[in-house]
Amino acid sequence: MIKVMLSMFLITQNAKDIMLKVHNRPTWKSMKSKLELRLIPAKGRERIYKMESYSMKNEKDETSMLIKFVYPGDVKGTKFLLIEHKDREDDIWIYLPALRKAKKIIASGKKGAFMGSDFSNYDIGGGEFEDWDYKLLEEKEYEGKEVYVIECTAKSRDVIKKTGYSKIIKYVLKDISLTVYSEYYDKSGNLFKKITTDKYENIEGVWFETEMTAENLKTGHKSKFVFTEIEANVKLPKKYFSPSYLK
Amino acid sequence: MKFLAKIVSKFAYINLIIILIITVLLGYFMKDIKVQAELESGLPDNLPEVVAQNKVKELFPSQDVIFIVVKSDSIFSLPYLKKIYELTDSILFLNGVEDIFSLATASKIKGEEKGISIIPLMENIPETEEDMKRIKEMVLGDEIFEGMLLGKDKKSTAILALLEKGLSEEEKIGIYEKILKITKKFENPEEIYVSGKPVIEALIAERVQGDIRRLFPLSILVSMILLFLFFGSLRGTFLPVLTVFISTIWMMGIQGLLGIPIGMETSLLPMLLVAIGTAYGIHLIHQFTEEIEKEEDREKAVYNLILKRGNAVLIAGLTTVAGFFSLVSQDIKTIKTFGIVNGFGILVTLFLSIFLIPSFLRILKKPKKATREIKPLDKFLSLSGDSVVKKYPVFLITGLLIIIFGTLGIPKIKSESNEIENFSKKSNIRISYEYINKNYAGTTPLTLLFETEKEDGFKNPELLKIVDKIVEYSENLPYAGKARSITGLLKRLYKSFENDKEEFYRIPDKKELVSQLIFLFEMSSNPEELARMVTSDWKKVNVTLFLKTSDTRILSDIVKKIEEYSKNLIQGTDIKLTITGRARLYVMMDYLIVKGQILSLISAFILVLIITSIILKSFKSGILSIIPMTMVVMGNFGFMGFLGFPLTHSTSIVASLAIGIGIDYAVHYINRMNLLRREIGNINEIIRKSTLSVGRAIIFNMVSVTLGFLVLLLSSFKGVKTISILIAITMILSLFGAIFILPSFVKLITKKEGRK
Repeated sequence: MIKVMLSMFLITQNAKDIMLKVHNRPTWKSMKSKLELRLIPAKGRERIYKMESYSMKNEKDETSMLIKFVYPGDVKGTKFLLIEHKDREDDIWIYLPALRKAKKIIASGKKGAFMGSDFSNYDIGGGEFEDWDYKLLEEKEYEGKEVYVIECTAKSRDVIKKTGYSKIIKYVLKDISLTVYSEYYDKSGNLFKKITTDKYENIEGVWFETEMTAENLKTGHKSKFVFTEIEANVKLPKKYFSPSYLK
Repeated sequence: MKFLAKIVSKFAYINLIIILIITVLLGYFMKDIKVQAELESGLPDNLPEVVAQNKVKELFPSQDVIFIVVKSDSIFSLPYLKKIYELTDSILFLNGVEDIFSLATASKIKGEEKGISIIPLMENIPETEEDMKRIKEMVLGDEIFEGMLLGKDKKSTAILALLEKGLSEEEKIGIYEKILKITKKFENPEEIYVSGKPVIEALIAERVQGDIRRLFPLSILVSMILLFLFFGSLRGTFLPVLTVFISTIWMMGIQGLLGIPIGMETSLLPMLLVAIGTAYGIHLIHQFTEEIEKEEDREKAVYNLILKRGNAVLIAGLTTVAGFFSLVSQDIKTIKTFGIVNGFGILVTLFLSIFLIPSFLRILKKPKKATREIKPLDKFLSLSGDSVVKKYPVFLITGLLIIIFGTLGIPKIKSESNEIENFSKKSNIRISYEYINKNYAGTTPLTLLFETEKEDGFKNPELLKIVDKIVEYSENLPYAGKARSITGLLKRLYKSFENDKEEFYRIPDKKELVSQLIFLFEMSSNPEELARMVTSDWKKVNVTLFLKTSDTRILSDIVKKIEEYSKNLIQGTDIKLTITGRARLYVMMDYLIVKGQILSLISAFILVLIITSIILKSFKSGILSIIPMTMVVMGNFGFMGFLGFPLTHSTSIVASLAIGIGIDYAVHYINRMNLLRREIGNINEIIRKSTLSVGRAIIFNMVSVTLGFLVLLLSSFKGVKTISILIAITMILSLFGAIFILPSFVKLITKKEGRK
């Protein structure tokens, strides 16, 4: 009995350690890149958004990110600015060139879609590590690589409501602690979304997902992010990340 | 007939074994029977409105909403708000519930100098008076909250549970039942109402099943009592019922096998077979008791039985089948199916009556006694014959009066297509429905589907302004509630970006701004929300307008007004507007029912005329048999008009059915008269004798059919109850037509011919 309990404890402890490594993967101090978002409906034509992204970390390890839209024409010049705060809600600013106005968006909740894609704001922003219980389901081979299969279960109903997920299964590469594939279960426990890391690269000592696809299994809609021309640890002017610069 | 008689009399055991095997096989498939309660699924698929509706269903997320309304004297109080929060929470976590819109999930969008805030009304359970005040402030005066979530009487708020796409009827019933269970726990002192289309459909499906379980045994019981009174023997009581029972198994098995779902009308099959089908058995057993008196050998007696009575049974059956099959001319699929399924059901019953009953009679021992005699009946019949002979003009005038009664009644008949009408005004669902219609945006959706050819077409402000005008016009029509439209969303977004200044509550002038505002919205909301209003290529816009009535006349008026108003606006643009949605489909349904009623009546008359002319071997006799039926049909419409029974999906089948069943009486009577004419010359004698000899069979048939149908009075559906009353009326009229009007008419003709 004790043996069983002990091994149970080890499994969960182990899983938590693995995920902590994923959570605390090193990142760059700053980055500049081109970004493409492809929205692919089950039927009909796909849409493409092209943008430039700039991000930087401050001393408190908080990230600021600026996204400039360059394509299609009707949203060209639209900018988003996200300023992360560890102790309060993040600041989001939006600049609409058609109105020549920047506005602060005061919103909470991360269930919303990221730019109308199948990635939620939660998927992009990452979440609270302590919201989930972790369990190592198995260790296996995934596309020729050794992975841990980790089950993340929401600790409370509030987490489910906040994220829209009751459970996530993650495939984590053993060697570099990168998630290559995950399955998302809705509030009722039904699998409804898959996110696949199509490509990852080592840039300046940091493993980074450069291509990712999210697929909604209910609607058949897919979204794909492609990062190109990544410049890591570049010098970026601080003013890029101030609301006044948006205009 | 001789061949048939031979088969039946010779191979009794084999017949029974074959029937048993088929019954077991088909009985197995009864497990696959499905219930279909959606009214509009009966509409033909190629109707433009149906095509548009299916397009909407395919392109846009689910529109199925369950309304849960919590009524209380103090809605702005902590315990009430806590209840809403917890109730929302419990329902949200049900499987099949996609999303919830309630005070607990709604966010307020405010445009201020410092920024646009999207603030949830309740992030957590409100704990303090402060929280409560803040919520109250945000809700009051907000047009979205007031229109959708807050009751007009300020005594309730709504929780809208959006169901997932593609749920089956069973799954919807399951969700509804779970919601009911949950709401039970939250009731008191608050009252909780649950309504919405999925609920109504679930209840209908549930009642359809309940009705079969309750009414089928009851109709069998009634029929057995009647049979026992008539025959006083076990075989007389059980054989006809057994026949009908097996036919029901066969038909239900076939429906399961072919995947034909059971709806409100098709569920009547077992009861209809009992009411109509037992008559065939009665004929056969009755004749057999006479035959066996003369012929000791059972095989020979059965042979004679089929020879003599086979024809009569076939006539009775085939005309009824014709009546049912005439419904195929209707456009509405469910009525068509009803006609086909019941027509085949009667055919099967007919077939089984001819094979099964004689086979049993051949095997069973000779019965002890003949049928009972009922003296008062004979007295009544001889009196009837007499009075026709003496006072035939009185009956003819009565017949004429009934026709006039019908003519006056027809304009009074209202047509009606709405599921809710099936529930009594006191039922929970009806009370909920009325309360929600009165206090909220309305529950009957009208969909305006705007289409354009160009990619991103509806990002063009010119087109959006046209859409906006049509939407605003529609919202201001009587009985209309707030519309859910991309134009409304854009106007709100524009306004909030401009610090909530009222002058910016309009469609932006630049396409870029439209795109950018939408972009902003996409960032901060559930992706499904936008998908409900516009397709991702912006070629199709779906505006849903909720109407507070399901009265088809008002709905039809609303549709006409919107059509007229939009005509000029969309002229010269490439916008195509199709008005659909349930409200529109109800209107179509109404139109098709009226059209179908006329068509199916004509085809019933023609079919029956052909059959009777062939059977009676004379076109003249065929016409003669139809004359009393004209009166029956007119009488039916007269009663509908004057008693206020609307022409619905359900009642539209009565006329054809009445012709199919009632014509038998006339055919029997004419048949007997033609036979007697060979022996007797005097028309008065012929009439007296005909009435006396066939009157009994006719009366008995009338009573058994009428009682069989009256069982349906206990149905949970208003439409079915009405069918039962109307069939009872038409059967009495058919009887009257056959033994009074018909001979009176014959008398009139012979008199005229005599003068010549």
